[in-house]
Amino acid sequence: MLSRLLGSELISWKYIRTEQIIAFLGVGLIMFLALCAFLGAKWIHSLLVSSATDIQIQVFWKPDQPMDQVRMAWDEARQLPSVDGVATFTPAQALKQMQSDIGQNVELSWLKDHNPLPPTAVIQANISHNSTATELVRQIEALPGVDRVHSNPLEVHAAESWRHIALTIVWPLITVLLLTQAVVLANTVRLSLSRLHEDILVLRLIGATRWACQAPILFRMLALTFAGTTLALLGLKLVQLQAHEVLSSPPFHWSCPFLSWPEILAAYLCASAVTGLSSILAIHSQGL
Amino acid sequence: MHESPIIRLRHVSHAFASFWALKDLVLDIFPGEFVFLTGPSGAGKTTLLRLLHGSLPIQRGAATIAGYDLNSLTRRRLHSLRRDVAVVFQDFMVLPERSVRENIALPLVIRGLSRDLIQRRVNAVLRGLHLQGKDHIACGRLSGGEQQRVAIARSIVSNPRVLLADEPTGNLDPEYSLRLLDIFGRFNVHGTTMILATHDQNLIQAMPQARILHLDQGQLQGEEHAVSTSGI
Repeated sequence: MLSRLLGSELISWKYIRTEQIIAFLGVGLIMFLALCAFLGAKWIHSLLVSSATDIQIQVFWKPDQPMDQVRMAWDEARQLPSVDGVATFTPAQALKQMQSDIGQNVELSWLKDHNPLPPTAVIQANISHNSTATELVRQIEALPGVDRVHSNPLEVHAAESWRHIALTIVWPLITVLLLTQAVVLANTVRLSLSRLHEDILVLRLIGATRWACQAPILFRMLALTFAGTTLALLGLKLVQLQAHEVLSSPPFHWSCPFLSWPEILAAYLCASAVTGLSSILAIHSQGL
Repeated sequence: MHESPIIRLRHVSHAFASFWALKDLVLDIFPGEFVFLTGPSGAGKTTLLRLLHGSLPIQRGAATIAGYDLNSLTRRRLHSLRRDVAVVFQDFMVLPERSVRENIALPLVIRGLSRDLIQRRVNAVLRGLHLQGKDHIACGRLSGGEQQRVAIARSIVSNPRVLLADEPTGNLDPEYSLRLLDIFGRFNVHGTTMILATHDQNLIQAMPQARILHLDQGQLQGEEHAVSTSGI
């Protein structure tokens, strides 16, 4: 029975009302706007926050520290959270680098046996991971044999600031925007069902159960939502392709990826949840 | 008539706020009867039909219809009741966008009958009500009389035990009204108990074998019967 009622809904799309066509377009536009905002925030986050949170820390070990212990400390540094890479220099490598930098005019080979240069490492880190920059510097200072740690305090604070701004302002704002879109979507769906009162009444009067009345309406609204969300994603893809073409070229060289598959699935699920809930509430408000 | 009543009301009353639409009604209607419910506007005819259809709860008294106790009607039993007790309204209540055939078939689809059985029953009803050529037309495009025929067809296609009709000819011309009465009469002959609320005296006079219940101010004022009016 239910499949036949649903079937009669399926094959009778000619009976679709103007309100439902408007609902379909409304869903498409609302989802397009919401997904544009989400994608834009995602691009800004990856661009500003990720790059702004790249920091460089130079570490000097004590000159008399045995090299095997220094190498163990270098391995420990590589395992620290947020560390992307560690460039290491033994005293001999540092002397060779200095010779190369100074040039042929000054001979430094006589320092080989009494090399004053300490073992050093340059650590590249990205604090978009869980640890803060200050904490990372503290962990590096605690490595065995470390003499001095140099970092740009402005760079460290700027990295943490971008992360802080993203967590406390940008993403909460995006969340509020998405919630607003959900309310607008729910209201659009509810209004599109406002004229179904008579249909529901007739079905009830001839002995249809509550679910038999609700199911065709719910199914139709979910189908419209699916179609509207698909339309929104197609529009978003066009926007993403255009943006990528413009922004990936000089002088920007920005990456503008599309939504990931989990994000696309989440968009369908969220839209369906909002539609389903608002449809059920709208049907209940009409006495079912 | 020695069988049990199909409708039994015992001291049934119903109020809307402080206004009593029905007062202490006691009534028995037997299977196969054709009953006219008459009275002026506000007499309580519609309220009584709505009570019998389960649209209003029983506030006072006791009522049963077609084996259903209206005092303890669960939601599941209500759906079942409405499959045995059909109703026809003055304002048709058909789905205007759907075709005649789809409207008539709806009660059978809800019952989960097979496509073949649905088609046979719908075709029989279409023939009986002279709607064969219009079965694929959207109901919204039909005349008032045709829409009312579709509403009647939908109510009888599932062979209900009781058919309640609330001013079914109220929006129709006299000639069409008599034709509809003829349709009701034919289905009554086949065993469906008919209760028809009307204040159209022409209709009442056109059905001399019917029982006539007079309602006024929510009370049963009198009763006429073809047997009693004939003096037997």
